Amino acid sequence: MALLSPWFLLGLLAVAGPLVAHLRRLNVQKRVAFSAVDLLEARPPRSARRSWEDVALLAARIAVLGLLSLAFARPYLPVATGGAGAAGELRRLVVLLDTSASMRRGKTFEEARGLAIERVARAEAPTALELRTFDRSVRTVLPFAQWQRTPEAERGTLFKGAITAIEPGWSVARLDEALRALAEQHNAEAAGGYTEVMVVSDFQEGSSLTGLQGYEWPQRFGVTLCKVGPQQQPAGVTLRWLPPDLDTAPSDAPCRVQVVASADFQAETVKLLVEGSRPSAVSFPVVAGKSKVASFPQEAVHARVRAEGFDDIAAATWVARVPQRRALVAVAVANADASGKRLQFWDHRSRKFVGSISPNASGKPPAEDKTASAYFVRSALGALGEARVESADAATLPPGRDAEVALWVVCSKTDPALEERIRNSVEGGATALVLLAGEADAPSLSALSGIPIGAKEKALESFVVLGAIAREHPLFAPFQAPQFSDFTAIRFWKYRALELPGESGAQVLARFEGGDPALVEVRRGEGRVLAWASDWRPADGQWVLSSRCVPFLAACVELAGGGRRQLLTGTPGESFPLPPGSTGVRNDGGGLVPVSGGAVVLDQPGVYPIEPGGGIVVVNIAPEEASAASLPEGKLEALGVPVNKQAVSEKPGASGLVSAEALALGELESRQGAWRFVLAAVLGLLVVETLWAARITQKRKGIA
Amino acid sequence: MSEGWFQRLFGPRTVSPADALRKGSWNAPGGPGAEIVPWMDVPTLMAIGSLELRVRRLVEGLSRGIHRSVRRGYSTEFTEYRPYTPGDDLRHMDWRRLARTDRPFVRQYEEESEWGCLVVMDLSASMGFGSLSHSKADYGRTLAGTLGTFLHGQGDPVGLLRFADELGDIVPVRRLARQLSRWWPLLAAPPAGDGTGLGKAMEGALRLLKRPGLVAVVSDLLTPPGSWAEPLRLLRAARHEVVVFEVLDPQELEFRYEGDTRFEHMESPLRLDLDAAQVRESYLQRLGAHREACAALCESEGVPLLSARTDLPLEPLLRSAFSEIARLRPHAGGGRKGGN
Repeated sequence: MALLSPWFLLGLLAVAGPLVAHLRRLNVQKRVAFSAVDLLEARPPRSARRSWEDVALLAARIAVLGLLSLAFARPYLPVATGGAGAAGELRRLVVLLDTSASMRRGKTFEEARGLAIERVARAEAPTALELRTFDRSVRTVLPFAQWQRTPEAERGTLFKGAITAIEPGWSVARLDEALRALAEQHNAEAAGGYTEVMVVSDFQEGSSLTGLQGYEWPQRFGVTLCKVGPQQQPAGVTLRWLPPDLDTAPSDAPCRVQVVASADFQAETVKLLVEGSRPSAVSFPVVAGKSKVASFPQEAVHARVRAEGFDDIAAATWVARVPQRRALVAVAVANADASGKRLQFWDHRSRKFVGSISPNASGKPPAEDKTASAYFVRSALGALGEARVESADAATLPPGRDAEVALWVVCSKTDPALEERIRNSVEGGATALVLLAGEADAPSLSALSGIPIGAKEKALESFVVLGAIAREHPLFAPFQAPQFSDFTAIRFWKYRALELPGESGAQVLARFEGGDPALVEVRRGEGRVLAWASDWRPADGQWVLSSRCVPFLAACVELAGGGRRQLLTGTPGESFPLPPGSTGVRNDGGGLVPVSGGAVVLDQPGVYPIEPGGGIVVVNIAPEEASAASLPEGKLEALGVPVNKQAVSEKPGASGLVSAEALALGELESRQGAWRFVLAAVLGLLVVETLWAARITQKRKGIA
Repeated sequence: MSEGWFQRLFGPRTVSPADALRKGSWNAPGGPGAEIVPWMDVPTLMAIGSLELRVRRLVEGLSRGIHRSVRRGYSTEFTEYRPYTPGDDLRHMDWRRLARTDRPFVRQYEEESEWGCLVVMDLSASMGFGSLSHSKADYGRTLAGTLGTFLHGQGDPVGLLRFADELGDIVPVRRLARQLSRWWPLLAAPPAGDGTGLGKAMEGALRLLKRPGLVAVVSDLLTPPGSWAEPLRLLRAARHEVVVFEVLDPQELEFRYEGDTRFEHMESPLRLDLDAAQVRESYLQRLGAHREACAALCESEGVPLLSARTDLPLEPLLRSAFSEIARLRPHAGGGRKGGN
């Protein structure tokens, strides 16, 4: 048992108090010259019993003081790390090399490699040696088996070759996971032998240590700390990109970079260089030890911002503009005064129509037909936000923006060119809602959906209502509440009976009460084509005037990814899930990093455009890894890591993370919880002593 | 003669102290004893270092209630007249002279015989015990000195016998004017000895007193009653009157000691390590039995036993003593005419 604060044992001197009092009381026996001693009964005094009671009370009080001192001294059971290297026993040495981003600073990693080689060369020849690296994950570079297979004379060369090939990465250091993994391996493989883990790292303060809290370390497992890198944090700045809020920020939102100046930063301004297709520079005032946010317009889609004059990895960050989203609703209507078709675009993000294109390029806005379905569709879209219709010529909305269209509303028969645009957009993830105004629209529907769908005008004597609805479909998600789930009040006077081919993959989402499909979904590519068997004119039915129409349109937009994020941010080594339909991301060299399992793993900082779609993945160094400060002394010991002190002392120039004083500073909760039990024993003993003393006193008073 | 005339002539009618002494009514409720107020409290009295001075103060205090008429004996031999003073016994009033001169006089008589008084003073080591500012010996010395002074003042021949384990110095019974001056050095001797030779002291008193007299024993009686029972019987057989003053300290009577105590006997090497609280009850029982035995012995011999507790004033005790002495005096009417 070791003591965290052994000087508290000086409190044992307090034991002298009751001891002296007891001895003095023993000597203070009264002497009385009495005249009638012969009348006194020579009864043997109870001194024997009394002294026994007094001695027991004295012992209890001494025990209380002693235990109190012991509790304050905070005893703990040190993990047995000794015994390493006993003759004939299995002794394993694991060199755990830090390859996190912080090791890229200056020549830190070269120093780490050299130190590891030196320490292994100086170390007593182990039974087995393993070389591992750790950052976000642990990798085995030189396994035990390979070391043991290699002739002893070649092992040094083998180790040097293996460690020389290692390069530092960009990800965070998860020291806790690395040590725990080695501890688990020790439990599984050590077979009673001793395992020494030589951690070569800069022990940067951002290293993850939370997993070490309360961990039960195995016996005969020790950790040697070999610190490399600068002993003091250099003066400098740390840049960190603050991603915009995708829900609110416009695409031209300014770039925001957090600039943190170290406490000993001397300059008053820092020059931020924007590197990329449109380089620029921004001077920004900073205050030592303070954090401020620099905001400046960003012209390039993505860029690298770094602080001039600082080569530190933390003094740079990658930034990107808000990516475009599928935020348009295109309404294709028949032009009343032309043979072509006209498109109107509704910007879902800005809640307004942003333009229209007219294939015949007449240049004049079409006359508004307030009985056509397009009018009501536009009205319904306007109900989503600001109901304002803007007209423009074709040049205002180039066909290149088709990728931004989330929903195509086809209100009439389309021409082949428009059909191809819609089809391509649907395969990229958009949704096409085809409103069948008559049997003549069926070919367009078939062309868009890719399956032959026939339509036949249905003659109705009266009206019909929607009978069966696939309520579990996302389109009907807004109507899950009971007050919205009733569709029986919506009457239809006209509709077209759709003839769906068998095994076509089309899914009927709603049927009229007669059983004819009312809404059919056909998946195509990443998108879908929705066929509505009725026109949205009031003459055909009440649907477009009902309260269900607007939420239905909104659901169509959301279903097409209109609100989905396409800006992904993270740190090197993370796995980034890409949107459906993405093939991968483009790296700096233009190469495609293919998607695997719906995600990509990116190891280096940078901006990676998502292919296709225009989304962006921004990878930056983790903020915790950007700090150059080291872990506080004794931090690992405070967390209970069985650190070998002697090995650290052998390293010349090492900062010495371990010191006896450091033990007192930390809270060794995992190892020194014994003081609680000691304190409980003290309390119990005090209670017993008090009751006992009261009983004795009462008894003696009674006798008196 | 009306009551007003009588009172105007003789003052308020009170009982004469001498009468009270003779009648033994000092301690009677409502009697003269009820008016006794100690002249000094015990600590103040004992603070007077000189025994002679202490005794004198005590006697002066006692004299406030005891008039000069009692200083002389009463006998059939007329000696002179003296003016009446309030408190004089009216039986000795000379009524004829009163009729002739209209002034009251009382007759004084020559004592018919001497009644020697021997004070036997215990100065054994146990008398040196005292839990107060004074010891039992101090208290006993004062008591003995006061007795001697008072009796000597009455004209009785007085003597002193000091003893411890053995007989000590003796002042023979005389009626000399400077008789008392020989007492003080003897009484001032410190307590000593390895025991209480009360029996030997009584035997010595028996030898000293040639004629029937009074033996006043001042002792703590912390010796077995059997050791002095026979000498007491012999004294009584020789027609001596005996008064025993049992001088005890309140600590001896109450035993208020606490805790572990080593008790060292003052008259022997006996040492006892005891829990005082533990032995208190048995001690008090034994002490009570011892005192009862002493009292039974004295009662069987017709000897008054007066308890003298050293924390109580001496005046009541002395008045009781005088009452007893007056009762025992052979010619006082109340005295016994013979031994029992």
